[in-house]
Amino acid sequence: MKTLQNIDRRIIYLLVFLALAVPMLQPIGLPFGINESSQKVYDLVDALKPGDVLVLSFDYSPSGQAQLDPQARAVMKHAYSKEGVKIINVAFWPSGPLFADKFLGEMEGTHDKVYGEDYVSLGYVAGAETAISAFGKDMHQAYPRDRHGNSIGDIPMMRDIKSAADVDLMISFGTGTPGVPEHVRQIVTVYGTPFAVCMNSVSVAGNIPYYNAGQMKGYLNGLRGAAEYEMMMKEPGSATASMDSLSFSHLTVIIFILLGNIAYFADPDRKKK
Amino acid sequence: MIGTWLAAIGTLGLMSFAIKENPFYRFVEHVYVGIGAAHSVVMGWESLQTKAFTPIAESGDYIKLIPLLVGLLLYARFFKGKIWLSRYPMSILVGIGVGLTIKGTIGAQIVNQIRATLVPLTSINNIIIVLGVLSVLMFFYFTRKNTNALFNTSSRIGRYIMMIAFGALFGNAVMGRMSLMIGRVQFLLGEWLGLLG
Amino acid sequence: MKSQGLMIAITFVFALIIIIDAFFAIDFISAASTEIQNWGTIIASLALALAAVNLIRIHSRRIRLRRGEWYNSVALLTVMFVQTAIGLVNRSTGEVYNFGFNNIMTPLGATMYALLAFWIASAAYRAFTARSIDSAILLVAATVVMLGNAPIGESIWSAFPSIKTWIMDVPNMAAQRGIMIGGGIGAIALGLRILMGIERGHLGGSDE
Repeated sequence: MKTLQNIDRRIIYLLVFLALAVPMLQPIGLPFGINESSQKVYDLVDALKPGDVLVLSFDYSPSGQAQLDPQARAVMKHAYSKEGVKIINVAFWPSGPLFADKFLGEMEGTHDKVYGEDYVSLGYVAGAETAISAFGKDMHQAYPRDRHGNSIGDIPMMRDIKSAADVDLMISFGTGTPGVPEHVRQIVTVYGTPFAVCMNSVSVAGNIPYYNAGQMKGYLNGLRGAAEYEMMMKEPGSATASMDSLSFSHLTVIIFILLGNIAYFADPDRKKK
Repeated sequence: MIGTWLAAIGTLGLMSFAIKENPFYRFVEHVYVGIGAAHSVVMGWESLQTKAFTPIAESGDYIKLIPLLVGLLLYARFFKGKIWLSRYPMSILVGIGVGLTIKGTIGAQIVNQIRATLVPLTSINNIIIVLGVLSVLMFFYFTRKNTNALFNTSSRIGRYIMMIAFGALFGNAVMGRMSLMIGRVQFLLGEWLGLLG
Repeated sequence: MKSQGLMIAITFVFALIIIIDAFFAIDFISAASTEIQNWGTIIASLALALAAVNLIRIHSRRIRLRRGEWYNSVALLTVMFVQTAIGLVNRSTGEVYNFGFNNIMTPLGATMYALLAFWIASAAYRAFTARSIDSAILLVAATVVMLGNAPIGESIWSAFPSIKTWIMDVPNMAAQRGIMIGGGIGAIALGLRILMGIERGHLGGSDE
């Protein structure tokens, strides 16, 4: 019992690592269903019509990249395949524009959207919630230039898009602050813009009330959400491939919780402590 | 190729912390802080170009000189005896922040949340939601020790409901953390070692 | 001009413009609100370099005094100056800048947080015991959510995802909403205290 109470932390680390790595090398392909919240994100993007305006806000940093990159990649691919939909890429986190650039680079040649006519990258503006509010109120003043230095007035697709009221769907890829609450406070509540979120798993529990109240129309939950989106797109990618690792790492954690409890209840000195 | 190796060495350097804190870890950690700070400076500069330099130089929007000069006062904190100057830009930022908070919070976090809680008590779920919200609020606002049985029961329900929420938070946190490590293991085994198909 | 009164007045006026603009449609207030929000983004842009200046101060001193592992400070400052120079010349859209971002900053940032996977597993083993009713509830909820999230849960029992969704959408939602409303009221109260000059932490501290 003493051994059970004092498993070396490095053994735990090693087992977690193996639980992640082995299924990658020997995949089983455990099946998984689609959560309703993920389906709603997909349906929102799928329902966009020619002429509709979609804002993709890249609000994450390298720390959230493992969860947010596959989400953003899948959603962007879907969005850019929608004919006639105007897309604005924007960022309220300093690393956001570089992630957006990366995906746009990867997708080059796979869609027929033209820069300036069908999509634009506005880049990053500092100020967090203040920047989000300024963007929602007047995009032209908030972003006098796009990421490539073009005057926003010279960008054809931006001529009729002035504020968040002109946006048909906003999707934030977010991991923290500024993130969901800030967008809900400054965009959704003020302009009634339909809003969906692709977020890291830790943020989900706290943001659920926005989903229940209809302020957030759908959401993707971390890597699992990304895998679900890939499945809905019928294009399994890195997120789908990692689901077995997710399963076995969870199982490892649950087993350690069990071991911890067995050790605790089997300890005769427990009551004295 | 060089990039992948750089990334792999850095990744292993930080991961070595799991075994033991060591000089290699500390070196990589310093490199990370350095490049992170550089990124902030570069993105801040570009944000400044978009927001201040362009409007001033191209549209003659000279009023933007005011926040530019006031903002520079932030750096007064590095000069002994002049720290008070840096509080002027702070007071502007706080003013804007407070304005936006009051403006946004009332609707998003209070009115809309209360409205969404006003549901008919016709299902068990709705009853749990209404009782849950009320009991959690009671738990926070009536913190004094009380002999009233109703208060105590409500407070206990509030605590139990919050425990479920914290459990849910933890469950999702596990998924989040594992996903982050999955990203690194995928990189090491796939991009770096080429072991994944 | 060290007057805290003036600073409180500035805070008050800026906040008031935004609040009035939120509730009344007055053209010049709306224009002023747009303008000051853009001012806020300009000041925030300038604030982004504060950390770098602080790092230069701390680490150049460490190098000068040859204190501790001063060579790590040399590495920190070198990387910082080189990447900053590349970014200012090449811009953040440039290939060279992106090389550093993609191959140094991104993997290191991702790994730093990925280590939490190890810590959380170790913490779950050591601290996640059913010592009381409260912790038992927490433990059961967490385990069910984990099994609902991971595909293996579905393979063990097909009901896990539905129970997880129920936990997330009903009791969790209720608790989070209670916290959200409570936090919202607290944030507004704090805002009003700042506007009235009662709360002045951001203006306080000693000058010396």
